[in-house]
Amino acid sequence: MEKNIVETVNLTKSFKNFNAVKGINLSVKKGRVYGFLGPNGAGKSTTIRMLLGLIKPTSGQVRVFGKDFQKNRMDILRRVGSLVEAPSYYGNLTAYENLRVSAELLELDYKYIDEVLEVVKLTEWKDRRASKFSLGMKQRLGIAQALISKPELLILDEPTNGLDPSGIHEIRGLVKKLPKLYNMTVIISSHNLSEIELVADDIGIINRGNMLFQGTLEELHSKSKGQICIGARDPKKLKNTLDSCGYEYRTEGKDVLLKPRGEEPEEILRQLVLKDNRVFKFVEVQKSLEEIFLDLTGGGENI
Amino acid sequence: MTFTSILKSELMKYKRSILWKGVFFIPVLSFILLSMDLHMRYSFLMTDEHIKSLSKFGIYDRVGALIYESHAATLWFVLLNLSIVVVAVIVNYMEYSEKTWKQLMARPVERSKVYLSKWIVVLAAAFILVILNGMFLIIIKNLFHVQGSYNLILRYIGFELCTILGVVSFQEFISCYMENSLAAAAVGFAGSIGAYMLAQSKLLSYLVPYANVLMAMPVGDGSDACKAAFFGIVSGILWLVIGILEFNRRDIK
Repeated sequence: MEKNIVETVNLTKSFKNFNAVKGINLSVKKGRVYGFLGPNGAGKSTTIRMLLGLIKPTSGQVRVFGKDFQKNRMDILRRVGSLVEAPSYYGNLTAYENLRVSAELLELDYKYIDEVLEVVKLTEWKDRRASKFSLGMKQRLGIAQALISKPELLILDEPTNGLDPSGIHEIRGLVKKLPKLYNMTVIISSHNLSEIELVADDIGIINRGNMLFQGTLEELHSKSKGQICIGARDPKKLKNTLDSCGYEYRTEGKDVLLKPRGEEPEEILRQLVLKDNRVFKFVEVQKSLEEIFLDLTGGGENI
Repeated sequence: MTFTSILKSELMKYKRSILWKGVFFIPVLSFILLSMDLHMRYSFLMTDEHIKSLSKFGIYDRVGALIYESHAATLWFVLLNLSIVVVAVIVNYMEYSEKTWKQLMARPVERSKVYLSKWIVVLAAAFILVILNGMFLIIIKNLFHVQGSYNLILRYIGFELCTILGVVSFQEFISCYMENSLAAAAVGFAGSIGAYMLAQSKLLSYLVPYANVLMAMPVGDGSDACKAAFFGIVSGILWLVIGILEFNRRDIK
């Protein structure tokens, strides 16, 4: 059985009159890339901040590397690297100097600085002030800071926020190679499903503070209950029949998309034909991952 | 992580920052102002008649008059308070402006040590300001051949070092507490400039850290300066403890 690196039990965080995270149970397996997905304001960053001890949970427990976070904060954080939302850097310092501040703080050998600069491809610009970096370079510097201690667990909160497509591609490539390169577990949060889909092994979907789904990408795909796409010569008649039979459907152009509620598709087709509908198209279609996400998050509304 | 490594990494952050330049510039500015003042008004300031008129403030000799001229007339106490305010604001603004608090606090470091390292930077800057100003006073005393003992200047430096503790701790607390650095600076500026007014009340002159600095002048038997030094140390410890407790409990957003 794969070991859980991160586990939360009924993790909750409330701010005055607002419940940001409502009793979520997160489990991240060793050596996997865990995609933490949800629309803006869903509670991703609050959860990540609790995993890093930046904010205290209102209730619930965080266990990292099998240890209670509250009691073993220092031990745990020694083995964790993180990038929380926007990259943090000292603009008056160069990339190298920024990493030297981190290395000094963590009592690390300065030789690691060149190594991580190489990993994030910033060696060429190591003597340039961070304030003059592009957003992509700042993000890579942020990742270098997270990597400098060679952590066993890397937590990246929205690492591609604000990046252009080539920047996103670069960060994605980097995240993908990290588990192999350093044998680390990665948690990456995003509101962008396609980005997560390309890098993650496991996925957690959160919305309005509730964990809606947790499992592998394959399990998420299997949740896609098929819809039936129906085309008929007389769409009006088709809709009347579906209404009279009490089916819920939506129209897409001339087609009707029907969500079966347990009925077998052949039974639906039989009812349509018996009521003289001239059906020329009757196809079961799988939902895309995006549609599953939108279904789970109630349309992916931002809060 | 050891406190030394946290402090060392804290000091590394100020490379190319205006912090240390400012710390050295302010006493130089005060030195220039005092030199100009003495150059233009020496014949008046060091006369027996003027010294006699200062006796109502508890100043009985020429070195006392020199300290009075520096501390009150050329407004060193305001410059000192304002400089500490600016240093504390810079030290914390550095973390707020680029949101580096979260990066720093997600490291295996004790929060109290991080807070203490920032407090030490502000304290070190304040000490440098006081010591430099003291050295410049000695230089001016020699340049203008002001008669009197060096003892009074040394006592003055000692009282200043004690009274600034309250300002350092209080200003570090509000600069760290308030995310809006301008608001923290505004409180500090109001306190520094209002110190004159606040010191009109005996009670406020002891309770308000900014006013303690005004009282650091060793006039009369020095009892007021002694009390100000005592309250400076007490409020220094008090606000440092409050700051650490608040920082330990805070959510880093």
